[in-house]
Amino acid sequence: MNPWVAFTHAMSTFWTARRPRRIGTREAEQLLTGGPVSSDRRALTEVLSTVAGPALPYEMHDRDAVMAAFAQTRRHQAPVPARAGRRRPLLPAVGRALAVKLILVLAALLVGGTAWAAGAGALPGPIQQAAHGFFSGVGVPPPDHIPPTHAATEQPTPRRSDGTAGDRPGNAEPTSGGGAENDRPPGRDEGSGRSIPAIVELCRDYLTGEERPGTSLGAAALRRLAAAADGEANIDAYCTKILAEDDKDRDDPAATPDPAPSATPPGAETGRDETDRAGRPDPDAGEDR
Amino acid sequence: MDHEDLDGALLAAQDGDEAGFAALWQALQPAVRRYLWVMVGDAADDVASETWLQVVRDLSRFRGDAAAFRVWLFRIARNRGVDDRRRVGRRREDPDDPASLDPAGVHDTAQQVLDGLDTEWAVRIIASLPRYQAEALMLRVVAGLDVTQTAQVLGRRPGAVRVAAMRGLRNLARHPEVQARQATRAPNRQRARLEAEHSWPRREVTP
Repeated sequence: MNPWVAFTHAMSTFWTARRPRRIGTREAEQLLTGGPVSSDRRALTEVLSTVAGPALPYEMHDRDAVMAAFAQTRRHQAPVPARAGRRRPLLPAVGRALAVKLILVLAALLVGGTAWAAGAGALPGPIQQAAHGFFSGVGVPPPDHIPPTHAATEQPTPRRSDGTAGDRPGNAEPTSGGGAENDRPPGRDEGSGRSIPAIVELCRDYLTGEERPGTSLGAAALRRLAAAADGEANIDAYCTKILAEDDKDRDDPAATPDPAPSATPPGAETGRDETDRAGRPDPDAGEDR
Repeated sequence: MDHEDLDGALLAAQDGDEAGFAALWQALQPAVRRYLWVMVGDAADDVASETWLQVVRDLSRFRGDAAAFRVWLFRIARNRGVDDRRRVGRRREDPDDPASLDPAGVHDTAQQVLDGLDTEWAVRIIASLPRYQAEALMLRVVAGLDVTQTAQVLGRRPGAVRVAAMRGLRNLARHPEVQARQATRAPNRQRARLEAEHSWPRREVTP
């Protein structure tokens, strides 16, 4: 025998006798996955296969409790289908966050817009009245004295040809014209003078503005006044009369306090204001023609 | 239960089907309990219950297949086990810890070696290893997770898991009871060598 071979053989025998072969990563993986291993790992293999052996009775005594919990949880989650976890959600997470923001913005706009409208006195009469009741402290004005329904009935009755633009509610021209000098925003309804106080204010501005050319009214306010006065040439006379009546109303506390002035229609030059005020406080304000 | 069966059971359970959930539980409860036994000893039953209750509660939110469910389940089990250890202040690194006694009561280990291996004995042997090595071995062998999945459960790198499992196996091979077992199986020459071998180490320090 080759001395060198004999020597290495003796050494390897000695070595394995003295020290068991260490487990390397490959052998470890084979042991862990149940792969083939040498016979000197048999006990180790048995430990590993036994520890993963079949269920023992004492390991399973908890079954009823866990199943009861499952059934109960399922009942509680009944409205939400248990499958929801795997279902595609109605909105993806990003979309959901976006939708929430959108809703918040819309709500803010709605509330803010309503508040602005209330502050400007631009809400429909009953709502404006309610807003005034709640928020008069922060400057929400009462509604115009003629509820918008009557204004609406009055609206379609065209008094004159030049009333077309000014008669449309929702045109905001008066705010641009008269708003500069009016305490009360005249923009509530620029249509044919259904809001008498506004007309009164406009007239006051108009008459004052004539004295002071720098404070002239806007074109829209002029149109409106012209419509109410049945022609631009008549504005002067009309306004004088309106202001006179306004003064008379203030001097006459017996006059119906709130809605009565509203009964004075823009066409008050007909002289029917007295009967309107007495008999039919506001409903017919617009139907006198 | 193979993976397809578990996938089906998982889908059924998520749909609220009790039979599906029962199948899941039956297939995985032994592994959960044995894994927890090496973590928390006699508290394994309670912690396994907590684990399954959490699974029941969160199942509708779980997404993934059976393989992912295994990882999820054992991660929950591990978290509950860690909580329990923290709560009790249990320290199982000490092999003489009474809690590391036999899973089903005190047995005569010599007698057991002669009688043959049983599951409780094997669990106890592995539980006597450093805990991290024991966990890695249990997750690989009992829970049936691969290296990557085990690393996910343990929150470590796969390389660290590989090394831990290997060292666990080395320690296991040197365990006196395993060696005694090997001696009964081995030819005379090898038995003589094994009897001369008593290199079962004391605990390794685990981080």
